[in-house]
Amino acid sequence: MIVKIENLVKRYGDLIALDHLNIEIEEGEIFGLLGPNGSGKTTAINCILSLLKYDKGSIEVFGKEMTPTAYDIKRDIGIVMQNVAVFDELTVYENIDYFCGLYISDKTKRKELVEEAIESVGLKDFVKFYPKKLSGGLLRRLNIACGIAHKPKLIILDEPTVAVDPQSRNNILEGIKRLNAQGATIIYTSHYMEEIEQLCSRLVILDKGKVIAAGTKEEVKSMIALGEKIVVETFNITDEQLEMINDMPNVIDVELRENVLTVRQKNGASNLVNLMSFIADQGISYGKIYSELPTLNDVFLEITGKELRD
Amino acid sequence: MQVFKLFYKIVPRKFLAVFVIYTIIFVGLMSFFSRSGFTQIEDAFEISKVRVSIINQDDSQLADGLESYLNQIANPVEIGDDEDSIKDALFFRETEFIVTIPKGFQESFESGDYQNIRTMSVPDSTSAQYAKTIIESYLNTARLYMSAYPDMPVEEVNQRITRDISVEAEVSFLERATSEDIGGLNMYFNFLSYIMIAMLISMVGRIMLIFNNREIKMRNYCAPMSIKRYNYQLILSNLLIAFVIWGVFVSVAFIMSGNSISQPKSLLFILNSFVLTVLCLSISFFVSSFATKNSIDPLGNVFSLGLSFLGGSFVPQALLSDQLKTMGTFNPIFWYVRVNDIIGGMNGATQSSMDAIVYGMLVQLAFAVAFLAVALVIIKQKRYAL
Repeated sequence: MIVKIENLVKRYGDLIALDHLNIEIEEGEIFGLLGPNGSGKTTAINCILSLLKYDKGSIEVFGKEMTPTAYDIKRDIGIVMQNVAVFDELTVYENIDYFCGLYISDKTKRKELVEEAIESVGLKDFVKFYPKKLSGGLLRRLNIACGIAHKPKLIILDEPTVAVDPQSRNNILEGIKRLNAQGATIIYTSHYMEEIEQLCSRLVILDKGKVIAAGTKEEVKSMIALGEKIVVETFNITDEQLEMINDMPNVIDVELRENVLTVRQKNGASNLVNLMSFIADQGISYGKIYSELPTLNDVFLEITGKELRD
Repeated sequence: MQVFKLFYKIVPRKFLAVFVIYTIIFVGLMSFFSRSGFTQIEDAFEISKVRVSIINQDDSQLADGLESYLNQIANPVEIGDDEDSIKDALFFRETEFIVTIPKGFQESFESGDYQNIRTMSVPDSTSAQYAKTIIESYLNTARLYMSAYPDMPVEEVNQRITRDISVEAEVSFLERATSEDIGGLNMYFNFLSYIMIAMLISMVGRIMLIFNNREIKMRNYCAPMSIKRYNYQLILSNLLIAFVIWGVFVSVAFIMSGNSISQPKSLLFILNSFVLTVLCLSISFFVSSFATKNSIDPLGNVFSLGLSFLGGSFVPQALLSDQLKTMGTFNPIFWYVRVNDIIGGMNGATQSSMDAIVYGMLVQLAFAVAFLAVALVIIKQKRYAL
């Protein structure tokens, strides 16, 4: 067990930021913390790092209690903060070298690690640049390089792709997969469900400091009633035909909006073939037709009644 | 020593220009003042002459002798002897003091009936008081001669009085009459308070803002380095930079003035400026604890100019009003300048002057501790707010 959080409670006055949080993270996994802004993701990270005092509960990292003075634990943790934490007065290389130097004192080894980190985040052509000269995406990559250069066993990334261009985002996500493949355990927080779905083997969904769903992606998705969603671009469907589709087995509901018909199915059941036959039999004109599995946003929507990005 | 190394990587890049500019401005100003002969020390004495008008109605030898003497030591102003002329002359400040020697003055003086000389003066005039003292002195001496030598002719009495009271005392500032020409050094070290506060707030204050940046701080707290060790390296870096600046300016002082560094007074100036450096460092630390990137420069100007002006760095403390002097006791720079002035004015190391110097330095150190304590409280509050 790399991280074990038990009954963690953190209050800010009357506001409960974390409400009896329980998380267990195994070695080698990419663990996702998903939730809307203000759900408690960063608070949880700050508690794990002992940057915040908490009111109740316990946190163990690498099997030992995490405290502000647990330097042997901190040595094996890499942190990429939500806000970029670099020195504007230092070049890209010097920034990475400084933060790596907080963990690695051997100059020769550090040089190797810094160069490796630069290579890994794709900043080779920018080593002599000052942060102010970097684009938002490159700055995020520098932030990541500063956090991972010392090759930690546990890497915590707190929303590392906020305000990043697609190219840099892909680069960052690929880099995280590579780090994981090299043996690092990763905690990844985001409010982008696509990233969590793409990266994480297990996840928890937080809302108002509470875990509302936890497990693998499949386990989480199986917690809700919704199965597949069939989407049909149609032009001449009648109300009567809509009623008939709604009466099909395992259909939860039917919605027609701007010539797009969405049929929501119960979990574990498929109606795609039946629906296609029905459309053909009824002579309904159609364009695109496709089936979607439920997303994490659907999970969040069904449990909380609101969108993840609300 | 990662933080220490980082500190000295940032300093030359960000602050070398600031250091050079401040040094050039300061050395330039000091050269200008030293060449223009400007000095903050009161070392000149000039006897003042009062504008006096004498209306001599007696025409006796004693009256003539007094009139002649007054004309020598004052600036005589001719006025009419009617009442309107007298009033106009006083009103328009043509004269400051009018002496009327009445008829029969000598006769009554000799008979022991000391008829008063009538005098009129501009209200609250200190010069008139001075003139009255001179007349008193003349007549008392005359009285002395007449009672000691009743047969001595009045003409001789006049001559003897003139000879006696014309002996002038030589006025010199014994306290400052030393072989060392220390006035320039005194002025330099007084001005130094401004440059030290301005420069240290600009350099140390700004660099502390970089290290106090919330994200950087949190990132550093995640590293396997204790907060104590981190702060220790920061404090060491700040102390080193402050003492380097101090060393440079002390060296410049002795290069510019040509004074020997080994004189007792020089050593005391150096010691006092060292205490000032500790104080300025503490003030910079205090300012950086609440300033922001945008407010640090205005705050630096307010602190450096305000404390230096009110403390007497630019004008001699003797010229400050009593209110400013009272306020000054709450200003550490006032104590710094006071110690400098005591050092500049002392003639040999007396117990009383040394006591005053040590006391002044202790007050500065007390201020330094107070600023530092407040800064630490603010920093602690901010840490809890992370």
